[in-house]
Amino acid sequence: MRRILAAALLLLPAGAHAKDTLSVGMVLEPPHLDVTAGAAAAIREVTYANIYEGLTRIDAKGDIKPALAESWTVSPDGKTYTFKLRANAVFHDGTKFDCGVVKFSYDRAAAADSVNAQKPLFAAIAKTECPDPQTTVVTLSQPTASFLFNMGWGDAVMISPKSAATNKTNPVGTGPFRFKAWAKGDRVELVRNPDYWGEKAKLSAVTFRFVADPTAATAAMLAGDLDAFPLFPAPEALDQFKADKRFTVDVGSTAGKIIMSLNEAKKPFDDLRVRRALAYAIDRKQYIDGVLSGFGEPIGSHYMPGDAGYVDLVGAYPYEPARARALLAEAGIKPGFAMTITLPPPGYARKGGEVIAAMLEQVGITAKLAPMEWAQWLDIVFKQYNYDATLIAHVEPRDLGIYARESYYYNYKNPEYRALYEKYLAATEPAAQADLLGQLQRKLSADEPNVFLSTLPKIGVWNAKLRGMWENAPVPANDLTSVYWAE
Amino acid sequence: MGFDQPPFWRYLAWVGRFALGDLGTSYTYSVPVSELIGERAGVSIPLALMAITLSTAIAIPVGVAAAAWRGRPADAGIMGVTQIGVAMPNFWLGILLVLLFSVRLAWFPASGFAGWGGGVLQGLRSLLLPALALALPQAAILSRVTRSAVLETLGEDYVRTARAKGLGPAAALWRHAVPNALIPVVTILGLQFSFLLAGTVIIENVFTLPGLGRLMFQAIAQRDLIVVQDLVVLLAGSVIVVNFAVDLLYAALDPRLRHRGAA
Amino acid sequence: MKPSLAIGATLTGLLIGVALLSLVWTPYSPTAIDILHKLAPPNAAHWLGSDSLGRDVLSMIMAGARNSIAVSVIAVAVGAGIGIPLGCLAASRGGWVDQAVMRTTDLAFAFPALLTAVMITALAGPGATNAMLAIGIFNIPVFTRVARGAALSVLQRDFVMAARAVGKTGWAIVTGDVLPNIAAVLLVQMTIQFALGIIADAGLSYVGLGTQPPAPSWGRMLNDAQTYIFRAPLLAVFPGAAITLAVLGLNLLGDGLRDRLDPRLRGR
Repeated sequence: MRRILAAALLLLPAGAHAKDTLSVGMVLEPPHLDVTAGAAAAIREVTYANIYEGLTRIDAKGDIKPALAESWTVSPDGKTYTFKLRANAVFHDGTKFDCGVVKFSYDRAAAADSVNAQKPLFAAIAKTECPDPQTTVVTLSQPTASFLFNMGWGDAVMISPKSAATNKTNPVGTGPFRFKAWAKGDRVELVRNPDYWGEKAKLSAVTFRFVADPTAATAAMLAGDLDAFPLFPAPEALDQFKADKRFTVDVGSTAGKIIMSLNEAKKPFDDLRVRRALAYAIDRKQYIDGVLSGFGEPIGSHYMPGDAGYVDLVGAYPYEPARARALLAEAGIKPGFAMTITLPPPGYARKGGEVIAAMLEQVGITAKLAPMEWAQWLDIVFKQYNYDATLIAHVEPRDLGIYARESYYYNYKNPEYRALYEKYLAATEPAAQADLLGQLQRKLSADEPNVFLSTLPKIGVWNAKLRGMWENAPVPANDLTSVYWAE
Repeated sequence: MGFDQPPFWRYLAWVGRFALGDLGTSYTYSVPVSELIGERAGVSIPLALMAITLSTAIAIPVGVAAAAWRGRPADAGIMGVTQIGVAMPNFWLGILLVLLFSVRLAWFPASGFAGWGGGVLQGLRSLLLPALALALPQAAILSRVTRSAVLETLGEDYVRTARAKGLGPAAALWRHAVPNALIPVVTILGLQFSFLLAGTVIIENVFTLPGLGRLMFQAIAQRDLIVVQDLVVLLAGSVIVVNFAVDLLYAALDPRLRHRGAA
Repeated sequence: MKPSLAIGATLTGLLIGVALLSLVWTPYSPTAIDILHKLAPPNAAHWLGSDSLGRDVLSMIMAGARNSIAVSVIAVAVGAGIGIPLGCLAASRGGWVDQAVMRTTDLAFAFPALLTAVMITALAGPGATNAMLAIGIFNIPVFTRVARGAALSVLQRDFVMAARAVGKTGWAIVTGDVLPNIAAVLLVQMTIQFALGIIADAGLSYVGLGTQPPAPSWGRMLNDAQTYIFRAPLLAVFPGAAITLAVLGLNLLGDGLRDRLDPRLRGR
């Protein structure tokens, strides 16, 4: 027995020493690592600012900062940008960074055969010129106020012509970290770039590990296998992290709105009484407490509290099961009516489905739950519109416009709303805009095309000794350039 | 990709390439499937081997001890514990091990695989709990088999003759009963291999190990059918190979067959 | 009665009793959520505590027994319903029929059962029905083999020879003489497959491919409990204990039945 114990002790980690490595948890694995050839947020979460850099960059506050462009000037007409480039930046493959690279990168992104996910960002560029290797002049076809911000996106990073074709599996940039290895399905490893042009990274090595399962994520954090989980998938486990001095819990907000989308092309969801009944039948507070562990604010329409023109409509449909039952009876829905709720993988949907099914049971609706993977969900719900109801977070900021679309997966087709939205787009006065935004929200609340539930919190958990992590995520990124361990 | 071909021809083409050792290209990762499987096998095979080793190392001494103590309270105790071991689902055992060794004692990682890059010891350490979770229920079955096999050989004529000639009980046990009891034990071990493979699928999910089982789940989730097909055929093939190996081992262990071979 | 048979019968009786009781009564509705009282430790109101949504664990375990039994029973019925006739056919016909049936079962055995069940449920869509079928399919070769082996030995016996001699043929012998004589062996095998079915169902549900929410299932309870393993470790203990006790009961019952029904093995 003693020998077994001794053997077990041998297997324990060696004593603690000054740590300069980091392992970061992510829910989804990137499909590949070429940020200029795919929209997946996971690509950015690994590579942005760590491996690839653009002329400008976006920092933790969402502000524009110089990156590979040291400085810039803008012509008075807002159409010509002159960038002064870093003189000593070198790609991980040895290629020197100069204006030729900028021209190559922008031309490639804007080209007809470009696979860039944000190709429209480059549409404004009329030409990119190199008066000398350290200067780039970009001429726009029309003034674009957001140009410097746009060029800070992951999609606008600088690519070495030599390695452009192989970035999917072996990403090469100018950043403070170099790609080391990718064990598919498990991890991507980066190491510090000793030849970085700027202040060198404080971490010597970084591992991104892909842990989709909330349970496994919790266990891995608690066991110290992971040092940080910036988008933590298990809000239900937060209490124990908060109570544990080893961890920092950071709750920020996103532009995400969690809703139960209803397919109005299917009976009986075309009936306003049924949609309202569902709204009365769901207790948002219980949903938020049970599913989001209280992190989230109830919403009354498709709009974030705090955004310009917000009106509080949370009280429009209080939790009143009796009223829900009455409305359902009025609409001719018999107790025992069965509907299917389609659930994509995140906890707000999977766990939320159980909570909502239990609440619907109280008003005589039997909700069948259909969990599915993202690929399947996108196909069945988002493309084919073949579903009854689904739980989903819309993460785009200020997206009231999606209810004015000709065709969208919840099939809300309302001419009045569309007319209102046209009016809003045409409005120029801030006061008129705010008024119309309010009208749009009220219209949505009155029609209740979907059941509006809650805001989507951004929850991050990391080791309390870790410094320099982003508290909010203005762009999808895990910028580790200034992350370090406190003593 | 040949998607314009009818499905049956695509299937035939797959069979043909597979037979030639070309496993095709993963739809999700756009890398050769053989590469993916190679990476993952570096976790699953050591895990399965470790589990088999642990299971045998635990089961044979326990089974022999139970046989030696037949009818005594120790025997009854061992048999009771093994009954419970047989009934325990390995993934629950895995959770209990995490609860004890990762949560309470923090001796072992709760999940994930350290990789072989940090040394063999590091890699083995992250496989120990999952291997134990796999091994213990199998060990319970195996020790029951060992016990009854040893009891059976102890009752056979040649052992009784040896005892009558003055061979001590311990010597009779170790020199005659145990070696002969190994035959059914090896047979069961071979049968267990298939259970073990299936077990790794679930256990890899409990401990989030990047092995073949998780690859299977991911491939299914992504509808990466070529990976699924390849994996199923490879796993079934390995079961057949192991069973064949067991047959060979069986021949080597069975003295009657051995003598026939020597003659 | 040997103690193992008594314990096995008691545990199995308890399992079935609880499942039947859950049809008419559970302390709470197993799906009723009560967020205010979530993750409660065992107390007077909730004997086994409450889960992450405040559901009563005891009620969920009772209802889970029902689902688990339903899946396993149907899986056994599928396996026995197809496997036993196949096995009897192979035994009574012999020749190429026997060869064909046995080689097919050999092939089926090469596919790790749970693994393939995972694949079937994943491709056909998760759910209790597909879990039943997937587990059932892998019960077929088991019953085929057992039935064939037992039937072969019965077919050698004098009374079958005698029946043949008086002109009884084919199915008449199988149904009239063979089946009654192999029923005991098959019954024992059924308890074993029943137990394996409970483990397989729990495993499939644990990875999210078996019984779907909101219907309670032991496997999914375990999965859910893993998230709260630090805050409410007992949540991970009760469903696992329920599975273990159910399987233990069935195994002991099977062992006990074998000892009673098969005199050759008595006393082993």
